[in-house]
Amino acid sequence: MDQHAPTTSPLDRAAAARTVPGRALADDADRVAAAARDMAARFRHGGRLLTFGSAADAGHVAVEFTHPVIVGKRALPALSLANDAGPITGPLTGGAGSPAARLRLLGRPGDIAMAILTGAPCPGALDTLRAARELGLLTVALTAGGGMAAEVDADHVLAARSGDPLIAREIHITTYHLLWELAHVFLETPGTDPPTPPGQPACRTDDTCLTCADTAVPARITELRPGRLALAALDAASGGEGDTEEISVALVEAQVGDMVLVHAKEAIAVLGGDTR
Amino acid sequence: MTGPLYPFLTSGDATTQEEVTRSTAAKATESLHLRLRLLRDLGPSLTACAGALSSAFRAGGTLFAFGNGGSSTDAQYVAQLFSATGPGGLPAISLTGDAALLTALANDVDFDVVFARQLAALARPGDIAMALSTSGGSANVLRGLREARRRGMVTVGFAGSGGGRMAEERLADHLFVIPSPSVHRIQEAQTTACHVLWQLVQQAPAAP
Repeated sequence: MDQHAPTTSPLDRAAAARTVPGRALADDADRVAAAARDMAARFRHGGRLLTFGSAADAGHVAVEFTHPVIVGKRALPALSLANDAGPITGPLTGGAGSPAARLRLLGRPGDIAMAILTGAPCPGALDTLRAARELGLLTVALTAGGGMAAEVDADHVLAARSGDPLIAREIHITTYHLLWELAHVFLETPGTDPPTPPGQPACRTDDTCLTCADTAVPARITELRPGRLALAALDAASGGEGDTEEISVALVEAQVGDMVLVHAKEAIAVLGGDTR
Repeated sequence: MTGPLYPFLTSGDATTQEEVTRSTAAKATESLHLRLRLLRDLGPSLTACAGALSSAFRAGGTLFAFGNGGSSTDAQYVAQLFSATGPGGLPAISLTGDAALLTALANDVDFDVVFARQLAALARPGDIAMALSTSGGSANVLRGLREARRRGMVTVGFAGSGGGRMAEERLADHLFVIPSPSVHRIQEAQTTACHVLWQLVQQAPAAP
């Protein structure tokens, strides 16, 4: 190492370049918490997290939420739109496999879209964010600094204070780890749910939504509705006390009177017919 | 169970926005400090590792990166960074991206062999194996490193807390142990280490 100019060593420069963006993230803690609070509200109402942008980080976020590193944390539904290269590169798709197209196919109004943009946002990522906003998803964008977030339109824009894509990525990784942790904190803490956003179906009027929980609960089909939906009476034993909810029966062959197992508003198994 | 992470939540008091913000800021600051400490304490080792990688690349070597879960995505990013960024791309491959291979090996043999088997098929002496783990104890990662050494590869290992068996068994020529008990903080610091390692390789002087 050059003894005459120790402050210009690559390692010193690497440390110096990370100090301001690292401190800025701490300063942005309230903004990170606000995004996590809104994400928790979506999860509580059965929403899922769809990620795109940097493929590696989109995949990391998806595994972070669906398979928590801390034992005992519930799995939250998340998937990466950037993960499957097949439909994106297939010659017959004519762009139908792009993240924006996949989001239009897979996204539901109550979901969350998260863009991870370590550099200047590419048109594809901006298209995907736009599609998410049009569908009514909560949009969260992790962007780089240096004016690179100017074109990004999202409910929560969390900008790393560095124009260096590597340093921005490092800040993003800390940011999404914090978002994961805070989403659980808000989910587990009653009274932190913001009001239901306009256009989003409220599950129930009180604070809990039984079928949005991690465990599946039994319910009895009382009415079949168009679009493979059904009205189901929650089993009294699960705490539902006969309350009814609209659920999807798209995955099962269920009739009126059947007991079904319901997870996140989706009947996942038929337990049997009416035996009473 | 949020007790250990957010003690104020178990006090029975209502959570306030200020408390969440304070705790979040503390974790962001902890992440920064760990990154700066890594660059200070492990800096000379990173420089030495960059020299070895630079020589290996110059001799025609290829880098193979691997890990599980979040570390698999870091392996993916490392391969992308070395091969597609900078003035001249360097040959780098992630062993975590091929679902056909991974599922075939895991289904037909055992998940422990998913990286070792790929290295046995693809790697040559003088290539580089880069193993990413937060525990230092993942069986498939350790087997990958053992296979790499058997084949005369340059071995680079990333681990956390005490370094686990990766450290105990000295399975990596260049071992970087991040001193933190948190999987998240370890991953964050490892990302910085990988990024800086790439930068140092880019700047490494030409071999005489």
